[in-house]
Amino acid sequence: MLASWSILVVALAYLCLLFAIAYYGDKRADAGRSIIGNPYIYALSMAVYCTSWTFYGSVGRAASGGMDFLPIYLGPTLTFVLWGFLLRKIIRICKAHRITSIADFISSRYGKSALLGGMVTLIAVLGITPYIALQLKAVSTSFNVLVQYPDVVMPPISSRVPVLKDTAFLVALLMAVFAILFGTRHIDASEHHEGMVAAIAFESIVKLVAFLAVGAYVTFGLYDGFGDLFATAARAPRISALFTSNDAGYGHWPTLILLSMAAIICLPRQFQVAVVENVNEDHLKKAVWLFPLYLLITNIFVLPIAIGGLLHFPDGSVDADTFVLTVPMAERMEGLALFAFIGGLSAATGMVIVAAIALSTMISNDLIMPVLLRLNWRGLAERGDLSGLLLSIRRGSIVMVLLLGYAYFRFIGESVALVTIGLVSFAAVAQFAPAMIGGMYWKGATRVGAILGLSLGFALWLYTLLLPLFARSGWLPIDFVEGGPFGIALLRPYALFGLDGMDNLSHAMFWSLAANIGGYVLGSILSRPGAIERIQGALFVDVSSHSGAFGGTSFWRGSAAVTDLKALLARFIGAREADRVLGDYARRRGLNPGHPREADAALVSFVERLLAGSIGAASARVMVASVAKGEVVGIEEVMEILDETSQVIEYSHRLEQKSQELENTTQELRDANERLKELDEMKDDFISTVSHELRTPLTSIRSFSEILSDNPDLDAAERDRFLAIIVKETERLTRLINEILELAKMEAGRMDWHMIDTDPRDVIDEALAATSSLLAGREISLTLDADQWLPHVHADRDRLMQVIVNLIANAVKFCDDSRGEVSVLAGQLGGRFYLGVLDNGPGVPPDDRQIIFEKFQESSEPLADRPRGTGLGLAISRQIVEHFGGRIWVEDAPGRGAAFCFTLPISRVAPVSAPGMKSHEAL
Amino acid sequence: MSRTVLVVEDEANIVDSLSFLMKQAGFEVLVARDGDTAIRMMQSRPADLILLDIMLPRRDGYEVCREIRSNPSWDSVRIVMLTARGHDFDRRKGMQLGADAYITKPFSTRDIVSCVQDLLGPETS
Amino acid sequence: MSGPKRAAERAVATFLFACVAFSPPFLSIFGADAFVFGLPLLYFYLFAAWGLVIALVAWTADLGSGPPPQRISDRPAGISDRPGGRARAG
Repeated sequence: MLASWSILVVALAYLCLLFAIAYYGDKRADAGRSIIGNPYIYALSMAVYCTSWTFYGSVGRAASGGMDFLPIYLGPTLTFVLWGFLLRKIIRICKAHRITSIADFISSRYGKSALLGGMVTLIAVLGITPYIALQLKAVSTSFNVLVQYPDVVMPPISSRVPVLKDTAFLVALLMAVFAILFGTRHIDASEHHEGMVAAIAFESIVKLVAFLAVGAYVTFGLYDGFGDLFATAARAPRISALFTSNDAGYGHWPTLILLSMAAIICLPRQFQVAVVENVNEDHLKKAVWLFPLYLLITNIFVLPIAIGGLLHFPDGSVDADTFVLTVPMAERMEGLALFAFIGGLSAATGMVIVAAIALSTMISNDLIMPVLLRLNWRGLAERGDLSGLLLSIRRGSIVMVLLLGYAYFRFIGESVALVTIGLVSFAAVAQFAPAMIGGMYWKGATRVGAILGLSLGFALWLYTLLLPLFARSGWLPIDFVEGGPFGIALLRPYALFGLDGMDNLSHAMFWSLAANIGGYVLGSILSRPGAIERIQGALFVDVSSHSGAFGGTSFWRGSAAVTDLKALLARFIGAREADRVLGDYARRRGLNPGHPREADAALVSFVERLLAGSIGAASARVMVASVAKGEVVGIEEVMEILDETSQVIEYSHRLEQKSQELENTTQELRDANERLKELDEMKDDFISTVSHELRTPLTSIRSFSEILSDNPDLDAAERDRFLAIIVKETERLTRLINEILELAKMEAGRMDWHMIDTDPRDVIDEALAATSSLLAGREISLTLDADQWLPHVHADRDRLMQVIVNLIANAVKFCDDSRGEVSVLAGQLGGRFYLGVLDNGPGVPPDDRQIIFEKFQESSEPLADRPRGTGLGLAISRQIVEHFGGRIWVEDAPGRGAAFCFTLPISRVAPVSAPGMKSHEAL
Repeated sequence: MSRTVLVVEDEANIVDSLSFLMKQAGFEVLVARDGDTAIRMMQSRPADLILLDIMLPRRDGYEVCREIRSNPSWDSVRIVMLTARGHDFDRRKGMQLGADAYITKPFSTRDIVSCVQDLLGPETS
Repeated sequence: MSGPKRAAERAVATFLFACVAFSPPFLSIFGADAFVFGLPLLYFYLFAAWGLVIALVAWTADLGSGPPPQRISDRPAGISDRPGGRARAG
């Protein structure tokens, strides 16, 4: 006999056992000896995917649609095939960023957007509510069926009994209590629930064994194995159609596979067990095939049980969703029926507990707390310990979620099959997939895109799936579904924009995902990501390359432009060296040695280390921070970093200034060094040239002296000639030495200058007299063309004369041989004293006009047979003129020849008596 | 037949003394005041030995030396380089270019005469 | 070729295989009214193909897919120094 009280006792005892397991699991975890630290428990906890939908609903579906129950389990397998690309990356991201829910994941990826977190939470709650309703319906139905034992009678519709007497309501409350006990027992509000995981794993074993037991009983107890079962079924045409040709075709399979692929990641409870509760990434390796294997084993007996049920209740009086229970009942297998009930209870409670906990975390963290904090409710931000408040919110959320589920069940769910309810939920959470997966692989995805995509997808889900369901349940006029709102046929929710001929689910998925992805991509392209979005985008997309550095103390999780890094490096180690080390780095890492625009975090770290060697770690950090987009400390501190940004910018600005100064100083030093080197080379050159200039007259002197000495019998004329050469060369040597010394003195500033007010006319006259001897024996005319009154200059009289003599001697030397003309012009030019010495010689080529005033530089066009000068005359003249504050240069003389000119500042205008001068004005 | 010495030097007084010394030693003397002239004179009438100053207008002594040595028909021509610059570098460069001797100014008249005589060897009739 | 890269290639190949194996045209072909070992062809085919995919996943996972995994939250003994929850006010 199965009395209702005995069923209740067994059920409660089972729940207490679960709680004991959870309690034990938590105790062990607190003691540091986890019982869930292995891949088998992990894989079993993932099996929370199998709910009453699987336990009861699959059989129901198989009874009408054959293998149609299966795609929902193929999808997760396909997702797990790609686990290395998806699941593991999600886990790494979540561990690195301490993400605890799918709402957290999406909001965190898009710049910690509170709006997105709230949206995801809302969609999740609305989407999962039908799913929870499904569990409530399954448990209450199975209980109500079982209490009829040994009769097999379908229970009355819930909505006809008062709420307080409704089994489903009591089940909802009971589950809320258990979810609170499992999930919010901890005061520390940690997101790890080891005890819960252990209990879920245990439940997964129970529901599997229970289902297998029923399946085995049907297959091997009622029939003689699979062959007999299928052979029997084949004789009944209505049943055999289930596993042969399918009238509906398989067009909806891809939709179902795709939906379940998304669901295995996007369902809050799957995210909870597979990602948040993951304790070791290594466990994935086994779990990724153990979990699909669990699904496969579970599903082997679905079709046999369905066939058994159909054969047993051919009249259709028994709901196929209850076959797992009703077939053993009909066969009077009391214990098996009870076990099946416990299995179904396991499947339902597992889902409800995990989903409620996951949703409550999202509701409290992403919906209620942000609002409370923003409103600063009761000075919340100032309060230190919020865990109590947090727990209360979570407990309240759990109760609310279950009541919502119950409400949905009572008002909508009663008339709809289990699987249909579940698929509505899948379609809702599938809306998270674009923002989630896109965010892991596309850095350019933005918050605006995610919000747009989610809103559009959710709106279309609401319109094409949920509202029609409401309408079919009588809560909305059914015309809305059949004729479209306001009779607009184009807007019919099951044939939107005229898209007809698809099953409702595929139709809804097509429109919602198309709008979702379209909005997501378009929004992302058309909007610009904010700073945190960019940082988070890079962190999420590049998580794998950072995986070695979880908890690392100085890891760059950002990126920077390579050019910026190079410029930074060049500032401290020089451009060439910077080029070299970056090239080496690229080669070592097998990167394109060209210039990628964006440096990855590893390169940024590398640069930081390099810099640290030069300027110390702390400064290197700040310097790199000045060019790297990213963060230098843990993700949790992003907000603080933003607050401190201005300070950091200030600091790095100062450092940058310092480094700029350093750079300038270095440049100055480098220039000075260049100059010194130049001077050194010039000194060498000078000594070498002086040596040459001195040796040349010495050579003549020495050789003629030796000739004279060796040839005492030279004739007198020749001896006189040789002696004259010796004297001349000796004079030249003396002059040379004097001039060198003079120039050296001038350049060193040790010259004694007798600066007095000087009348240039006297000096010119004297110079002309002194040079007249040069003209002796040559056809040269020397003329003076001076203004009558010349302005006085402030000068050393002797030096001024030296300049004029030099210029005249120079002109005499170079002027035309046959009809030499040298003229001296003197006067006033532009407020300065002007003197020019013109010759009619070959002139000075423009290229030489500067260098002939250098030491030992004569025009590159030498004149054979001309007496060699010392090569210092013009250099000395320039020194003198410049000392007087004047300027000396050479230009073309009118007609032919060179004009050497200089100007000097005027010290005093012409005398008072000067005719034509208003000289008294100046006095 | 007396042997010819080409004096290539731009300082008139030094040309004077070298001409005197070479004539006195019994050589026929040709004079060029710059590098271009020296090469031209060699082409019209090759000398047996060249007294070659380095610091010359137009084409310096090194270039003249290189040019002479690049023409196989002048292989037998001896080259004595004269320089007022005493650097070892100049000496090495001169010898590398194929000069036979290198004399620094101011030179000893006896040294330069014996150097030329040694290079040309005893006079053959 | 490195292990992770080969594992990634195997994963993609397995995925594509599964996509084809569970595509409507293939399902229609195996929906024929036939029996294998006393099992309906479609039933047999679906579980066989599914089992093969799972075996391939196991084979690939064994290869050590991706960069070397690391312990994510090896907990020190005497726990409760774990970071607090998502309490943003904390």
